[in-house]
Amino acid sequence: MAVHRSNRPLGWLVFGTGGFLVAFLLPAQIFLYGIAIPLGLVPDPGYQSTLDLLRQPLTRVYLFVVLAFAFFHAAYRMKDTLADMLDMRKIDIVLAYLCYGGAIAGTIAALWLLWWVP
Amino acid sequence: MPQYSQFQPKPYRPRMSAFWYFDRWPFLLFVLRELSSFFVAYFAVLILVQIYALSAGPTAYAGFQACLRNPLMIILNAVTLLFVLLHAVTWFNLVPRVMVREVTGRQLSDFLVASPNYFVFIGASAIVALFILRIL
Repeated sequence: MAVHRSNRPLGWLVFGTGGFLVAFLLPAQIFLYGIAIPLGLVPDPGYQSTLDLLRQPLTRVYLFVVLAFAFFHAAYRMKDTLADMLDMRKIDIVLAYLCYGGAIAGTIAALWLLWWVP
Repeated sequence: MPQYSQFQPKPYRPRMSAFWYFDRWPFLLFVLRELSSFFVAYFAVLILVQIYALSAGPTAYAGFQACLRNPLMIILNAVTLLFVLLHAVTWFNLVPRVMVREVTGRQLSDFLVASPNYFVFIGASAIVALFILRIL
């Protein structure tokens, strides 16, 4: 007899890991790159120095892990948010394809861009 | 065949307003927290653009930085920071909800159980900041 198994735990595992990474690591990045450096609150390390940072293998692994999990974390929540807020629970399979498709595209883009850093 | 048409019970069809989240403050907080996911996705895409601009050369990166100095972008990023911080705080405060927290027979307070998260958050943010500012 076939036992119905939900695929929810798999999504939640990725969502949960992403939630941790986003909560601990992303605010510093948003504050510095998005607010403090553009406003000149802190000295801008400049192009060459930032590129040197990006060239390090550790930075690329870090960025890939954070970005991939952030995309899937966001996809999981966006799917449920759209379903609840816009009353689209009936077509949530379509939303799931859209959100997770976007997450897969973002992950591939991250892999591609980080691979081809000069 | 008997006919049961006279006292048919009406089916119960609950109708919920599309704006149910304005009804109560906890509902609104829940929806705001869920909306943080859109800002997480936005900022992840912005990091992708930054990596692309860095790879494309100094001129492209200067253009990217000029775009970020636009007041609208600064406002958008400030709103993004607020939403991601809302996600972080609600995430950290989940620990007392999901963890057994009895030490020496006494129940520890929510604040005490959640507090290590905030120390880790400060430490992690400091390390990320030192790398971004090229001090490490």
